[in-house]
Amino acid sequence: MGKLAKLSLKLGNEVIGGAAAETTSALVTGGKINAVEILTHTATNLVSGALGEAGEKALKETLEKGGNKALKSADDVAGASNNQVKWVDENALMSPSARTYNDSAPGARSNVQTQCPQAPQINGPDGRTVRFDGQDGNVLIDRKSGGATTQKSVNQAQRQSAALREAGMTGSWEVSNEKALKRAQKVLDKAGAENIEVIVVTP
Amino acid sequence: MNEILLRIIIQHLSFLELSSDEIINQDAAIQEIENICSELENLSSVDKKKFRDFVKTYAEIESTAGQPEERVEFIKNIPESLGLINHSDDE
Repeated sequence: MGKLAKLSLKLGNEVIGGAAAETTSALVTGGKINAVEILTHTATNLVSGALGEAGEKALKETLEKGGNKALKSADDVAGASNNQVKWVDENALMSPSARTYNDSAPGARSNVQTQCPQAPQINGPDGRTVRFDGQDGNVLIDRKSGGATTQKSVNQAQRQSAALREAGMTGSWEVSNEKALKRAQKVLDKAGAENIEVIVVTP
Repeated sequence: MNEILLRIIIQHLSFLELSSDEIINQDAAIQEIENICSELENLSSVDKKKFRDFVKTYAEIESTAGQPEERVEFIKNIPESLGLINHSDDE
């Protein structure tokens, strides 16, 4: 679980109370939910039945406003060790299986207002941005659904490696099987990207 | 295998790999190549071999037609680049 997810869990529990801990914990598993969503979901569950539809809507709006401030604070804390990571909406349509795999990367999250998946982004030394799929502390994670070894893959590894070095971070490519791991390692070796590791994470 | 669909796959891969960053974002291009790679991995061994054979023929046609060397080389290497070569398939 990433720093932000842990912080969100703590925030959700403290604000809503221990009774919601189980629900909150389940939501946070996989790092797929942010502070606003935890607050909204948990509180809505707690008061379900006690409020009418209008009351529930009003509560959601209030929590989202407060939650957004809390989320910004959480981002500030999580990014304190490295404030060069910026989370941006990534409105990329892809196959459901690819989307599921990418979105299950540690620290992956979505924008509660736009409903868009978000990607952590850093700047390379050339000023161009480089995007990943998730973040776990000082490690940025890129989920790879296949095992392509094209020149463009090598170029991407070089861009990521340079940007990570610039940001004082490291990278991790997560692939779905051993065959893909060997192929990804070949790309990283060819790119000289020693600050990026590759591991197998089964979908 | 349907040759029209095979041609579309090859042309799409070539576009994604060989287009500049101004035409298509590099990270988006790689992500899509990865997705295609992941789907093609599900082909049976027999169909993978048919795909490889078609790619080889297609690359020869492109070469004869005077297409840029970079494009011809990329097409030739598609099976290797996408991990569709399994020597046991040919046995």
